[in-house]
Amino acid sequence: MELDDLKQAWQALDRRLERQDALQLQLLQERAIGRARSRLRPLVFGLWCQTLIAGALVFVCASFWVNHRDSLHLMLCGVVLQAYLIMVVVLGARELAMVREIDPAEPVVTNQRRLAELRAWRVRTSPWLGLPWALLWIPMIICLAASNGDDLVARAPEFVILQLVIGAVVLAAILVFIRWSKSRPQLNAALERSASGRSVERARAALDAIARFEQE
Amino acid sequence: MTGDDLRPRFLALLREHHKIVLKVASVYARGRQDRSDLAQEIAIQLWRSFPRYDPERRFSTWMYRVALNVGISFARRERTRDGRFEPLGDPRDIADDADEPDERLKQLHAVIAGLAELDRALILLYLEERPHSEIAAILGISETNVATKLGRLKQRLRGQMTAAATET
Repeated sequence: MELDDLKQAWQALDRRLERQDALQLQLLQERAIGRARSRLRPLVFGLWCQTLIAGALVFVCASFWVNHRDSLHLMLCGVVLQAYLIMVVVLGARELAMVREIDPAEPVVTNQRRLAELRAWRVRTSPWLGLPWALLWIPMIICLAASNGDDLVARAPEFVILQLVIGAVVLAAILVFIRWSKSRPQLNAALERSASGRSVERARAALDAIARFEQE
Repeated sequence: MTGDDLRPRFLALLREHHKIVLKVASVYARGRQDRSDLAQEIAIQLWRSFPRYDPERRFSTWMYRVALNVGISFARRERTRDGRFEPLGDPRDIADDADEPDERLKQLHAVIAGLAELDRALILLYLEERPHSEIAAILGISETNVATKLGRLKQRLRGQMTAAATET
């Protein structure tokens, strides 16, 4: 098959589409007008929920630590949770801004780059939201207990310290493992074959492919 | 302009240019059902984006952009869903055309299936005989880049087709 044959085949496709026309066109027209829902809508809805709920909790945490200024550990717990929630709000707002920039009527390379950047950003930032929970649940239960009049740190300091140590060890172990696995090709490949590893790889590959395409 | 005013204008333009939708669907989806699903997805996105369409600009250029963007995202999503990673030459793309009676169309789909998503857009616009300036506006790259890429792509395809002919 030569390039000319390719063109002829394309013309044959064109003629075939003409023959199938009436039915196809009717279906397209009905569907286009009948169901206008964006694929990004669930993501946008989720991001708004995340941002608004975290935003409201920022104020709850602020009022908590302001009301517990007389107790250093309670105030610190409130501040730590508030800092995390501010990060959640900032990440959510940034992602919403990235989604807003996506317009399918933009040139193909621009639009695909924005989509790939959004994917890469989500993949890169999701550990920032998840990993801190190895420790974050501890200030959270301390704050919840304090809201019910129970000072967990004063009542069971050994329990709190033990949980903090376990959480810190788990978090450190995860981080060390991730770092160490990068120097082990087989393990690194296995990790990359896992769901999250594939997402990172796919996001990177998509951005690379677009960058290559933009180069002359 | 309200939705009621837009609708007849949109439907008239869709009627006039709907083959663009069907061709993009035939390039980015495999099998009859997927092609039909993708064509509908493109039509839906066209209608969603239509209120922002600037009538001063050429409709076909705008339509190609929307259709190709939806097509590329569809192809990428399908690949992710199938757990496939390699973008090129999935044998199933060809297998799904096994019932294709026209040998030339079967080969056409096989050649296109062997290309990465952005190259598929380029070859589609080339086969549609769009001028380089319009291809550049649709893809968002320079005209020089379009010429360079098309030259390389044609060379690569020629090589692939010669190799395939030698094998058979």
